[in-house]
Formats: sequence, C-alpha cells, structure tokens
Amino acid sequence: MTRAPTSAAPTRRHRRWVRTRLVTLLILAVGVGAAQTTTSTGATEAALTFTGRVDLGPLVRLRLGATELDFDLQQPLDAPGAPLCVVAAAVDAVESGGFGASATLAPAGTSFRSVDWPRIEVVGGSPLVVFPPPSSDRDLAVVCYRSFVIEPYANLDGWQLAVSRSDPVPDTGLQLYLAGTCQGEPDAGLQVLGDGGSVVLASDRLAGSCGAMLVVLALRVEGLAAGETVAELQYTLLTADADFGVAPEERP
Amino acid sequence: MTHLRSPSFGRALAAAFLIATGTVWAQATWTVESLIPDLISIRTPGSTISFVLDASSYPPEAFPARYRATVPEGGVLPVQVFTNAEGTWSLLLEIADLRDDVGGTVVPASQVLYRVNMGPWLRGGGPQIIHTGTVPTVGWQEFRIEFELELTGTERAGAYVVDAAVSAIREPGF
Repeated sequence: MTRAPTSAAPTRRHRRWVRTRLVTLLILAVGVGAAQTTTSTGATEAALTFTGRVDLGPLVRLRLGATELDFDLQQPLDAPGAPLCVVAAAVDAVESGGFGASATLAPAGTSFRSVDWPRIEVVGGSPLVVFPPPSSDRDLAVVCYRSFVIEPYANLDGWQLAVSRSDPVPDTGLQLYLAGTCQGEPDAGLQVLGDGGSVVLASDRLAGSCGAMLVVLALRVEGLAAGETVAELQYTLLTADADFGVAPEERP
Repeated sequence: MTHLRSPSFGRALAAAFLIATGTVWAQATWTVESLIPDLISIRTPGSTISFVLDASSYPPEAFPARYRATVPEGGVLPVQVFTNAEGTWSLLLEIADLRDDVGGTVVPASQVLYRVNMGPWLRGGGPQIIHTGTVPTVGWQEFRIEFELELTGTERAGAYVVDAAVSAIREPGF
C-alpha cells in the first residue's frame, strides 16, 4: 500500500526551510532599507552631495482671451464694450514694409496705440458715435477697432504665432487688419488679413518671451452688406525645432 | 627523618601570615579608557533631489509658478546630524545652478527654494548656514528641508541636473 504524502503537517525539515527563508527575507529587507541611507562622518566636517533632474519637455500653449469678437454697429458706439470706430480718409496708408518684411498699413490712415494695457485708443480720424456716419462722402471710410489678449507660451526658442483667415462665406468684402503686440513692447503695425490669407504676429521669438499679447483687429465697414458678416480666424503657435513642431527652413 | 612539605603549602602559609599581620597589601588596578573619538556626522535617507513636472501642472496658469520636489517623497529631505564634541557646529546647504545635459542652459540656483523645519522660504545658492549649534547633539538631531523649484516661464525645454550639498562643520574647542 502506498501512502500519499500530505502537506497538512509540515515536516521538521520544511519548517527549518521556512525559517531560513524568512530570516533571509528579513535581512534583505533591512539591507534594502539601509542601502538608501547616506551617511558622512568626520572629525570636524561631514558632507553629503545630492543630484537629481528636472525634465522640462518641449511644449507650446496658446490661450485665447476671446473666441468670438463682435463688431456690433447697431448699438451706440460710445457704450461700454462697443468697438472703437472713427471716420477717416478712405485711403490706406503704408506705414512700413520692404524686402523680407511684412508691410503694415494704416487703415484709412488710422492706427492705434496702447494706453493703460490692454486698453487701446485710435489714432487719426474722427470718433464715430452712431453708425452710419452723417456724411456719405465717398472719400471717407469707417474703421472700427477691437482688441483682446492672448497668451502664447513656448519653452523653445524660435517660435512663431500666425493667424490665418478662412471665411465660411467668401467674397463678403470684409477688410480685416491685424496686429499683435507683446506686453511691454512697442505697438506693432497692422497687417492686412484677406480671406484665405495669413499673417505672422510674432516670429523667431525666444522661449517664454511673450507672456501676453494684445491682438488688435481693425475692419473697414464700407462695402459690407447689411446683416451679419463672419470671418473665421485661426491662431497657430509653432516652434521651430528639429525634434518638435515645425523644422526651420534650410537657408543657403 | 625527612620532612616533606609541598611548595603550595608554604606559599599559603606565607600569605596567611602576611594577611594576618597586615603588613603588606597587594592591589591590582585596570585603567578603562574611553576610545570614543570626537566626530560629527550627517545622514539622509537618500541622495536624490528631483522635480518631475507633468502636463497637468506644466505649464502653469500663470508664471512664476513653484513646483515641489517629487524626490525625496513629499519634497522633504530629512537631514540628521550627530556630534558628540564640544564646540560650535554648523549645518550648511549649497545648491548649484541647474545645467542641461551639455552644460549650457542654466536655471539659476536662486530658483530653487528651500525652507528648514517649516521656516521661511529661502533661495538657493552658495553655501548657506541653515543651523548653528553650540552643544553636542542629543542623539541624532533632525532637520527637515523642503525644496521647491520656481519657474518663470523663460526656462527652455530640456533636462536639467540638480546638484546640492549638505555639510556639517564643527569648530574644535580650545
């Protein structure tokens, strides 16, 4: 008759084996815990050094202060929150530009300046309180301004911020101008932003160099049909880095 | 007739005589000397100070922003000091500028902040005395040093190395 071994009653040898393993585990646990302690001892001086890492991954972030900007000309234009509108000469004035530089324009000869950031005031023209203006002189134009703040952030050098326009309904005649000024910097000039086009508000900037940007939009009202006219603008923040974002263009 | 006496019997007799008369006293002494040296010692549970930033908190809502060290646990480094000698002793902390892998980009050490035992937050830098004692410690005396990293928003992406040193110095008594 063969009797199967039972595990219910551990043998003396088994108990010894368990005790040995428990002691071994205990020693290992104490060893691991003790290995992390660092000690320095001396007669008059003891010193320990520490090292570590900080990993800042490449990233960009763009925060818009407004996702919709209304130029409501039906309300009194001197009401709070209304656009700043002026009546001015109808011809745009070229402010700057040249080879390799974006041309900036003064819509109907007007411009803006920052006063008490982020507030702006319009330079040039005559303030308009109610639309339409009393005079229908063809040599005059109505230009309205609005502004808001965006917060671009990139922790890589060489970033740029661009705005592209794509209207849901083409050929509306809406003439838009756009400028972006980083806080603490001189006011930027306005650039024309036509349907399907794009403008660069900031380029080749250093990491974290523009915590807040004042975006100013201006539009010329003449030629617009009555009712609502919509323009869609897309803001894009790019970093020029070979490993992240858009690689810089090769230059000869 | 021969008298035989063992040598041990004679010595025992002589000893009994001397003790009885009290004229001679023998004494054995042992000098016990302390061999505990003067020393100062510091110990910590680890040798790493790291800041791991995740996408949920970086970049922050606004700069400057401060991030607690993730290593050691809870951002607190317990430093224990033991000294058994008389004299003034000091505990010093030195934090170096943070450099990237190629040693180029720098985050100033002043952007690493620390505080000792819940005291005021101080900016890191060269060796700074964080405690001075005038008597030996009673056992191990613990100092809890907390670390935070301040980011201003101008730090470039990269991996930075944190170097710091804690030292204890005792001025020998005279």
